[in-house]
Amino acid sequence: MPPLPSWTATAPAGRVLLAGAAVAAVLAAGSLSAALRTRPTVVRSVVVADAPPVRALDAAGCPSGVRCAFRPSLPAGVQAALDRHFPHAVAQWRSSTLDAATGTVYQARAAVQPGPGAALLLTARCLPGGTEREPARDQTSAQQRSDLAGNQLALVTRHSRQVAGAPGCAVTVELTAPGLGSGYTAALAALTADPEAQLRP
Amino acid sequence: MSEHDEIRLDGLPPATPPPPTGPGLPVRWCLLLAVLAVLAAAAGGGLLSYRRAQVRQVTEVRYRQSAADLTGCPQGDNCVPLAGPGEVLTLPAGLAGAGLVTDSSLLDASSSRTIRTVQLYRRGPVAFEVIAQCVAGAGPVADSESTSATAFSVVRPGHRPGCSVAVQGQAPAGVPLPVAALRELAADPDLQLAE
Repeated sequence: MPPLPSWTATAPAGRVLLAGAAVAAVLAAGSLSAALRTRPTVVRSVVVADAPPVRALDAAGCPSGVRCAFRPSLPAGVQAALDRHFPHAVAQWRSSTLDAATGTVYQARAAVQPGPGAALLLTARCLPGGTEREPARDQTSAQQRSDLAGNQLALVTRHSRQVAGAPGCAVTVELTAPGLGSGYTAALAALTADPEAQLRP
Repeated sequence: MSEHDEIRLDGLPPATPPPPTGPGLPVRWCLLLAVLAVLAAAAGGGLLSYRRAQVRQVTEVRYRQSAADLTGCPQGDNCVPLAGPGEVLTLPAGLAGAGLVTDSSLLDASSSRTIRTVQLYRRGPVAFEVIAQCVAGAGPVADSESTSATAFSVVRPGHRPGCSVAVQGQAPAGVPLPVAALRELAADPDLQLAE
């Protein structure tokens, strides 16, 4: 192995150059290390914009951009569910909004009179391509009056229940009944829970 | 005096520098190393100043919430059905005498806006529904009509996107539907839900 170059044997000019090279090397290593650790300056800006229009059914139950047909009848499943849970109800309205090309039903609506002074409105809807499950709702509101003793008496009570079906689908049933309408509560719960009352996407 | 000259002092042992262990590095190699080191330092400095000057622009787009459920109730809002009977509409002459059978209203309690109304009327064997709704964030609704022997449906867009009115009628076979009157009713701007 050849001997290593000796500092003492190197000419003074060479030593000066080597010392300068060492200083430059230290500077090079430092600046390279700092450069690698330096992150670019990030300028962040936030733009708040209107969201793209959400897909929705129009007032007739037809999705935008679809040609729909209107039929004065209900899908068999919805009719069967209604007959099962409100067998003595008097039908007042039955309708379906369906895709004129494919026959897919987007909305089914029924209005029946389940008893004296009572009205039930069922709306089953399905938004094609819907991916989110509709929220479940169970709400009651009432028109009330106070008697002489200060008790609150319900004149008319409206129960509204919405149960989600497949993603994008839900059935909503609204029952308006005299008093508290408690005689219909069980049938209302059973109807909304009935899978046949839901439309299929 | 060269570095190989010796200085002798009386009484002291002669100073003998350690002999070189190898040959000296030629000056041209030293020069080359110095140049390379300076170039490396210059490159490092350049890279550092470039990285410091580098700016990354990040633009974040946030959408105003506009999702609504199937009933038109905006997500996160509290929508409640109204208990009282709705206001009976002023019907065109062709539908005079029709009586309100049932109705339904959905109120967005968060904004105090009515977002959906349904009214069912009946005149003899003819029944018709009037539905008005506004779905927050939905696109414009198009005019449309659908007619068959026993049913008729017409949709009219509202004053703003997502709003529309539908009038649908049905009658038993053989009973004429008052299509012109239903069209006239649907065209009534007062049926549209308010802004």
